[in-house]
Amino acid sequence: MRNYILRRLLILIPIMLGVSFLTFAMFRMIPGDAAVLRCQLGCTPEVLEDLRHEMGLDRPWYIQYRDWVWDITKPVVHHIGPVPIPGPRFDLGHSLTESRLPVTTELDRRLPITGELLVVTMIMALLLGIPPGVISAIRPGTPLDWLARVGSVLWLSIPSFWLGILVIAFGVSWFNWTPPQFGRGYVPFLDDPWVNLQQFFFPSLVLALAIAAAIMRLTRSSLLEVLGNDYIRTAWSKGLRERTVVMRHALKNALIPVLTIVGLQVGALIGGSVIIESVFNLNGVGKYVLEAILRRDFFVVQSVVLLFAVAFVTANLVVDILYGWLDPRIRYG
Amino acid sequence: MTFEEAVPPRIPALRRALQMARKHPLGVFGVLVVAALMLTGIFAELVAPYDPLAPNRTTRAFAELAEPVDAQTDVFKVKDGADLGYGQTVGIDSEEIIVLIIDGNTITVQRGAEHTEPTSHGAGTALGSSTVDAISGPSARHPFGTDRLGRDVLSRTIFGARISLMIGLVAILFGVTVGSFLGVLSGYIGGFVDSVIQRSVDALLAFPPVVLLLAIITVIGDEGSVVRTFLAHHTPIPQGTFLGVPDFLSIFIISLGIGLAVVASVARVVRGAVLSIKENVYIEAARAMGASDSRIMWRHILPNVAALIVILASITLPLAILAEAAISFLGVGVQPPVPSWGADMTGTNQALALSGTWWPVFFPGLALSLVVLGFNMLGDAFRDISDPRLRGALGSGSGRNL
Repeated sequence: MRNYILRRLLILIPIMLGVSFLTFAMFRMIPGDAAVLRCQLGCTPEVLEDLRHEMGLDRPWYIQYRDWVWDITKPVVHHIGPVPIPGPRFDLGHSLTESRLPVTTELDRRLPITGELLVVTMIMALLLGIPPGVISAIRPGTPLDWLARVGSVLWLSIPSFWLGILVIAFGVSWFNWTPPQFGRGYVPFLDDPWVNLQQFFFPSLVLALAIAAAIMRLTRSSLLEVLGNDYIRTAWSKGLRERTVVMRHALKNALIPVLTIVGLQVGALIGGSVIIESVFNLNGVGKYVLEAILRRDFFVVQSVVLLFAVAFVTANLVVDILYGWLDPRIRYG
Repeated sequence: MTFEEAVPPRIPALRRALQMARKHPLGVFGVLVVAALMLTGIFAELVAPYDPLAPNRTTRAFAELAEPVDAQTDVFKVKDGADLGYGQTVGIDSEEIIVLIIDGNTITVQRGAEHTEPTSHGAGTALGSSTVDAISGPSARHPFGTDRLGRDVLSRTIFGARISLMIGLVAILFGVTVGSFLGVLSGYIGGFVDSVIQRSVDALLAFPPVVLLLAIITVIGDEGSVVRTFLAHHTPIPQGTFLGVPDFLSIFIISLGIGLAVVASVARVVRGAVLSIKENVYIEAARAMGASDSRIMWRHILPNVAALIVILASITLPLAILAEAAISFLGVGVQPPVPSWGADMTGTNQALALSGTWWPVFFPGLALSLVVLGFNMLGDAFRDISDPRLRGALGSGSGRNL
């Protein structure tokens, strides 16, 4: 088990290098860089050269990439409280905008927002996905089943950004209610739980619907398949109650493929957060990377993409480890 | 003694189709929606009631000329029932005039106001004004209303279908072709080629799909990008309007970007299928007969994964349409004023929606949702028919969605 996790974590290194280098290379292929975009009026070649020098864009591309990687990995001693902890430096470089803000500072501010959005969304998706899936599998062919299935196709098809705009627009005109993040910034949960929940309820709901639909469909089909197994018939013939048969015997096995989908959906979720954060005016990481892409601010883009890739791969690793808990027959070789 | 040959009863194709339709009503809905998308996309000019780019104007007549006037005279005779006021500027044909004196049905005017040229006008010509019919809600004239520039939202939604369809088809054609090619190559040759292709696929799949799309399209869509320059100068792809799509080159580049994002997952799935087909005896037989690798790959393996490739294309087409809308919504894809469902939901339209003007955003989004819904229902019915065991199992939800 430990070896398995270690090996999976080691695979992360080439993936991280590959993903960040790919992003870096892509943005180096455009002739117009961040300096050109910043140098608008009265831009002479000399000014442009100075700007490039200031941003470090005049160095050869491999030096730029090497320095960026080295700034992240350079071993230093962190001081967390009084405890000195040696570790890599985790310096993700600077934004190429005038402010030259360090990427790490920006991420400190924005990660809690995106983190909360993703966690709340996932919880909502599971709550909206698994119970209807179970109900429609144990009562196939009933109006409830039909409702759940039609609902799931519907949620899969409605684009989140459209639904998001409609929620805000009709919230304003019918209830005179705007999500509190319009006009004031992010309010952490511990400061004011009520405002915080208002800020995240609708973005998470809108983002969760499509994922919930996928989870519901898979729960239904997987549970239907498990319910046809011999051991379930044995459980029935022992005279167990339906609740026990479904919840204790069938559902645990049926949830294994569902878990895989949940892991894979983390990627879709992260992508969706880019869109939903811009619709709902949440200043999270997704909005940051969108703005950075438009500004050709590629140190920011490659840092955030790196972060996303790590999150995605880690989520799938956690899913793989959870398999063993759900199904003790699974062994890690 | 004669044996009667057991011939299964032949069911006419039409009746079979009707039977299938009765079993899968949602599939029929899907077929209808997809057919409607295709038809409106192809025949947008015939279906759309107005020009999607031109502002609509409302004209109001205040009076009508009773006698013809030439370019010099400044005394007009108008018919009874005129509704003019002193100092009012009104239009007559292409000329603007200012009303100076009203005396019964005779008015004295200043000719050629607002830098227009005085011309002669026939009897019965209307004196009136025209204003841009901006932000008017759904009505009989404009069922979906008009947007802030007075453009008909229904016509824009209809022309948006063409853009969606065009981008979806080009993206899938490109992405599925390249993906299948790489998948067959990777699965059949194996070894080093396989490793290189699969590690690249790993890296691409580790990107969140939206971010990957945004990055690719920003990079290849840039004014001076290598891809754009190459396509503009070395391929016959038209740069202006083509097949009724304005700025075709940009649209084509966006399609390529979406297609590129599809390549990775198609290559992975096709490779898996090729790996199992490769072990069949008929491949060994072909090799024993001296068939070359390329002949085995393209003549023996490819036809056997063709069905899978078609299914992949049908699953990815709505995703490509959704992807186009999403990136256009984020401001990276199709640029205004080209009518695109995604682009029409963003920017000023989005801001206006928050203050009550919901129709310019609502209807393009509704069209988009309907089209994706249609494709999903079609896909579900298709899977039900081809493999009843999978009923409801593999929605497009098991793929990557936006």
